[in-house]
Amino acid sequence: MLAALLSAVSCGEPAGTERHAVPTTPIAGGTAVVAVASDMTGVNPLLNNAESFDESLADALFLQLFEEQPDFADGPATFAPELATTWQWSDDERTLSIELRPGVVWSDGAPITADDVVWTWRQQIDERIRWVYGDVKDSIVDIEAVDATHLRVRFASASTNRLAELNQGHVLPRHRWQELPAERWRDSGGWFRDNQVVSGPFRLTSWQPDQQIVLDRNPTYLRDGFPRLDRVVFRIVPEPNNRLAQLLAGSVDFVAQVPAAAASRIEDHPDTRLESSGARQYNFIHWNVENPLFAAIATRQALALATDRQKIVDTLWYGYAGIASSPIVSTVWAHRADPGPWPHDPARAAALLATQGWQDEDGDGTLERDGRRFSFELLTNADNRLRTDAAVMIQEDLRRIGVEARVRRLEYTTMVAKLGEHDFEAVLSAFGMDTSLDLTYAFHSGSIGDGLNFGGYSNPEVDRLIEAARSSRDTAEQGRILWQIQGILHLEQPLMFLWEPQQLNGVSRRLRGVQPNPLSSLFRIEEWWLSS
Amino acid sequence: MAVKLAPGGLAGLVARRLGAAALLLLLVLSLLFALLQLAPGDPADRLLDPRIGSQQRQALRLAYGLDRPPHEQYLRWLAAMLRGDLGVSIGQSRPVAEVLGDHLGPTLLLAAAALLVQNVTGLLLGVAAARRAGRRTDHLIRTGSALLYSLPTFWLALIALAVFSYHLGLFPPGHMRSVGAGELSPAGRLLDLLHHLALPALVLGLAAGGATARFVRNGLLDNLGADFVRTARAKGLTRRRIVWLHALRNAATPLAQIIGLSLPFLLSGALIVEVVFSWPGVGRLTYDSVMQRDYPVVLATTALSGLLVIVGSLLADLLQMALDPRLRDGA
Repeated sequence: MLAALLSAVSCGEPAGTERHAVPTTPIAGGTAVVAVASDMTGVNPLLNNAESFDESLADALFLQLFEEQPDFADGPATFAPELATTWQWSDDERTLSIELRPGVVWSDGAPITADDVVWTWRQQIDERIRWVYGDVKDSIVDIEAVDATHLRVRFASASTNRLAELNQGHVLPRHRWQELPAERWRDSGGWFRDNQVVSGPFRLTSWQPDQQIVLDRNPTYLRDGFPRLDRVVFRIVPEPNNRLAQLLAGSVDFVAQVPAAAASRIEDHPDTRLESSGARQYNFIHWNVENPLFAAIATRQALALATDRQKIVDTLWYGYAGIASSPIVSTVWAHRADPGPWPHDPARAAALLATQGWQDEDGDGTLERDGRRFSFELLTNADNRLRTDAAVMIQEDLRRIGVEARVRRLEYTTMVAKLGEHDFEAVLSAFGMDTSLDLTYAFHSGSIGDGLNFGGYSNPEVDRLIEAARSSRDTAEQGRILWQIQGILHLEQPLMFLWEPQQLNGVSRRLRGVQPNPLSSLFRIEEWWLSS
Repeated sequence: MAVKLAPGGLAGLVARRLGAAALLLLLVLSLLFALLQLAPGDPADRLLDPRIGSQQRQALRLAYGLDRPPHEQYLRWLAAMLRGDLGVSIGQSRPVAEVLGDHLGPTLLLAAAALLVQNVTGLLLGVAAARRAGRRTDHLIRTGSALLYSLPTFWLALIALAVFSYHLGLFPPGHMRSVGAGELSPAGRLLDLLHHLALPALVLGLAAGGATARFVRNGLLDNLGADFVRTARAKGLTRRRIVWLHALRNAATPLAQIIGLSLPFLLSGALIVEVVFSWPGVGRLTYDSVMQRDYPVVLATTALSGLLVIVGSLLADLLQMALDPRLRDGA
């Protein structure tokens, strides 16, 4: 009701609004305002805790060696030069020689050199700092500064992901930040703000915690004429209806991840538009296959057949999502589109369950076998309204074939703790994938006690294929292996794949040059500009 | 007003109350520590990202001592707190005192403004209702104040935002300052701040003001029938003077207790108002920290709330003593 009220008061076209011709040539200058749900952790990316906004902000403040391109629909993501200008592999493809762009400087005028890259890598793997992505660097044996602009990187193996692994994280200012001993980093987040030296398109001018973050253009940024904006202000607005209302009222220019229910209001408003892109996320129900209820493949197939995923996509996502059928989302080159999602076929589902011995013996509408009712608890996180609504829809679908799902909403961390302890029957959740396509995290048996394979799925063939894909040096071969894995997962359904959401962003009409993509909503923020 | 007490009376009272309060606070924080330990999950559990390995999750637990037995964690935390060290925020990698310092000012400002709104409106409406007891104005005020008091703060805040900010455009849509406030003159910045403060303070203060109004009305009615009021009337004092100077002073004695105890109410209500109005206060910090299992920050904000309850209650007692000579003598 309240959302409707906010909508009713903010959707009308402002009195006296005129539609002027919008310039198509980028204009330099101006301030764009972005509304975000939560504050940043801090300036030092190595102290951040894997929040996507922190990563986007780090992209605005610091350069990487390469810029990963959002071109992974037709093949593995490519990398464009950023700090590195050229790079060349050795014959055994385990050593990479990199030449850095000459003349690039930090915001204080000091040159960015190979020593900065080597030092950053050492901090990334330093146990005293405990960077959350430190494990990603396991494949790197050594990084050596040959001279100020040349690097040599040695890898433990010649896997296809080594460039992405090297590129994870941003190059940091050794000459300034080495002044603080590594053992003090974890309790001195404020020190990095006070000793801020950046290389990206923007620098942090002010930070009022839980209020706003102000970025101003960094005049030493390596691309001439960029950033186009003089300033970007991130306003922290925790309440989602408030974020949307501020966009519609013209107080902010960009809101990431708007709910699908609000999409039409943004599209219909004369001063805003909707920019959507694919996401790297897929939602699923994770079955605990160690539980006898879900141990049989046929049972899991029946549950997939009973669930009307199209209805969820249409009803809750208003079409701004697709049905998921694999852990490799459809925006990625290695996604296997054939045979597609399981169809919605309740009759076949019921027949399959009957072959497993499930019968409604007492006529209460719920199936039984050996005296046990087919009844389970379906967990989901309470803070995600969409997932709880989807859980209720699935509950109804399953009820029709005699399966009782008791939906239980839990606070997020409480839910995740239960998953880690394998103390659950089924959970509706989501994973966000990177472009490495390494499926170890949730599908390798080695990740049962020590990863995100919460349901205890174990298939030696899948283990072997995942390891083969990980170590493959050939993209075509990797694609074939991933194709095979997806076939097995589709058949065995350790997870019931539900939907892949689109990433929806609300943008004011005056803000141009936004390029949201599955990598980031704020991708190349230096190219944003204001038409008025 | 000067408070006359037997030598050491006031100091003794304050010392006794503070001593008891310190023990109570320790008990509350110890219980909270135990509850946080019982809550499933820790900050490392939240890192549900395929790129983050279990080694890194474990390393984070080691970094913040979360792998140690609960009793050891408790003793370490207690020892640090007694030294005045509130620890390091797990979520923000900086000292808790620094994090708290960033949020305390906005919350105190909001609470003070709300307290002002609460008492001014409560007093004015309460007196008006008492003076017109049984008449239409009285019914209107009583119904209105009951409505304000019983409406959920969250709902009231969102409605106020929708109507007064988005529809009428009278107030900014949340936050503490405008985007370009830094470039305004000092007077301009102050006006900008007051403009942003008004709506959340009104929402928070009016909700509590409804209760105050009813309290003032009932207290005044009790006193208006008392002997001293009849005496005052017989002496020829005006009705206004009788109400505002004599009857209200007597009625205000229990009101002092309400003012003191409304401080924690305002702080807890501020949590919701802070979220709706994007106000960067302690309430939001507490909520976010609970969600992130940032134990040191949760303990520190709870200690702060406890401290404010104690101080508020002590101030209420002192104010009551100042207003009521009988309490002063007994102190």
